[in-house]
Amino acid sequence: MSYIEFKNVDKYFGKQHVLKNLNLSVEKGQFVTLLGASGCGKSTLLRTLAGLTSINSGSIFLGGEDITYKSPNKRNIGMIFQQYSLFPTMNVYNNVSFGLRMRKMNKDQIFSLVSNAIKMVNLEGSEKKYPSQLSGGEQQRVALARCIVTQPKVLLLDEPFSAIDAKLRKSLQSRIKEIHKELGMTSIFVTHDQDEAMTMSDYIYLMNNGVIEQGANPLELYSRPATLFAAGFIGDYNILDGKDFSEIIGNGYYKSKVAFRPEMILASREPFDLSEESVRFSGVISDMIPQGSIIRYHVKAGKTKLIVDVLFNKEEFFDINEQVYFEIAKDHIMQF
Amino acid sequence: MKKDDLILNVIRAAIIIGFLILWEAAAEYKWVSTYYTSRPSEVIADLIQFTSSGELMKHASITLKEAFTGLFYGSIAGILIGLLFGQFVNAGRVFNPIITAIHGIPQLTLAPVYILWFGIGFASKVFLAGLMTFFGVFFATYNAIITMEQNLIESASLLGASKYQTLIHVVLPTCTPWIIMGIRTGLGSSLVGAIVGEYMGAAAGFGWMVAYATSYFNIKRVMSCIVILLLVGIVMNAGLDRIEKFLLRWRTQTSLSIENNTIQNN
Repeated sequence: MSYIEFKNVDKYFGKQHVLKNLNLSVEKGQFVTLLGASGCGKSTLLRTLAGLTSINSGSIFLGGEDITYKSPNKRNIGMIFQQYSLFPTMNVYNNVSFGLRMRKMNKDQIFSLVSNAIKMVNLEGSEKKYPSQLSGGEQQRVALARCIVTQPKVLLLDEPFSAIDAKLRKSLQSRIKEIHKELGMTSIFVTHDQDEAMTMSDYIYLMNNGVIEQGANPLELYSRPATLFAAGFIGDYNILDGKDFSEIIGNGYYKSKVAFRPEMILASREPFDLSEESVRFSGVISDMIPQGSIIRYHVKAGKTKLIVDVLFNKEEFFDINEQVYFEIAKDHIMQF
Repeated sequence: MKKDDLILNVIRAAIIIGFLILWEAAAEYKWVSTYYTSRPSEVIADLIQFTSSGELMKHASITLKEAFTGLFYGSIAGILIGLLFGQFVNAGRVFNPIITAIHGIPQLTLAPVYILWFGIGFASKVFLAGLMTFFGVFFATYNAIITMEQNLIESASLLGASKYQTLIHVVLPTCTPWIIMGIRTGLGSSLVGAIVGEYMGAAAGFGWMVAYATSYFNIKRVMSCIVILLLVGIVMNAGLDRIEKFLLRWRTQTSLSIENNTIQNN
């Protein structure tokens, strides 16, 4: 049995079926992300593990124990919310020590554990400050310290960086990942941001409309999406009708839908040589968007529009309205 | 004392002194009839006589005891019932509209009924003062709880706190600003309750004294009573300010002026 297991979990909000016979497992020490669009059920799933939302049927196991009906204060699970949720009446020290004080630990032990946790999140010297005197990033670090100080069985992170600016988000992401490794924790992270999921996770569960669409490690999810939804959600796959695609490549036969990544397409001013392993087409550049190390070209091939990513090379740019030749290996074309 | 506070106090004192001078002048030059308004010099002389005769202490102790006993029980009941309805949401849904409807009845018009129920002694005044305090404190507490951020309660629970620990360590402190606001309103209401109760039927107290003095056109005594009640209000509010400043040292004090927002204990 895995460290965390959801077995046939169903959750309804009124008539709305939010989690649909869901099965999921997480191994000890993993950093797992629940990725999906708003309203897909990922936060509800997290809350059911924390005990903050009850389930209608199924079971939840943590460390081999059935915790389905256990109250949240007895589960020893830490959770970081999007809105920080620090106790406004308590200073940083009292916020961080709250969980230990509720467990009636002795003061010396509390002092030592709290000082260590505050040090881990680089907030030494802010012990006497109140939440209203801290920035968003600092408040989230206090929330992190408040969770890790109680050494929870699982750390849950419910979109913790949504309200934090991009630069600070990056440093917080890496700090959380470091702490996760240092303490050998098991963490479940909820986000709608695929880049964040890729950066942080050992394993990603992609959710859609109350079901797990695909569970895979980040590289596999990126390169081998199992469903059309996964292909559409992860990265910027070109998703085309098989008929349209067959039309632009001139030979070959593709049915239903095809999907391929924009960086897997080779581009050239000269036509490519014929090959059994690849397909070729030509198109006209309709737009060019520099995106740091790559340049994204919007291409019109017949009636079909697609995107092509090319590594930035100052020697060679394609011009708008220029006719360009493209090639893509058959291996990289997925059919659904 | 900070320079700003000193300036503020000087302005306040100047306004009061200016008003007293104007009042005295109005009486001296017969702009108003002293028969209806008396004059500061007479009021001060009466206050001295009122104090030295021991009557002030006698009446003040009766009225204040009634008001504060009412304030105490009214506040306790308001906080407890507010917490109870905050905890048991369905009970709150049932009873809140009923309490709101009862609050809509002007309690002062029911004072004679309370005197009928509890007699003309201490109990009827305490009941009226307590009831008038209760509503303000109850609504403040109840609304503070139902609008509280749910994540705070969830965080406390996940950190291992029981329902009782969450109530004591998280809910009550977070609701304190609103509870204090309710008690501050209750402070005035309890005095009004006690005094109106005395108006209706009593043998002593400020309410009785004001009614008695008015019936003999002893306006200076009425004014003396008003001055004392004003002083009581000022002292009690100052006390509450101190308590509030200590309990709410975590709160950001906001002003409409953008540059002046500060933490209270700064």
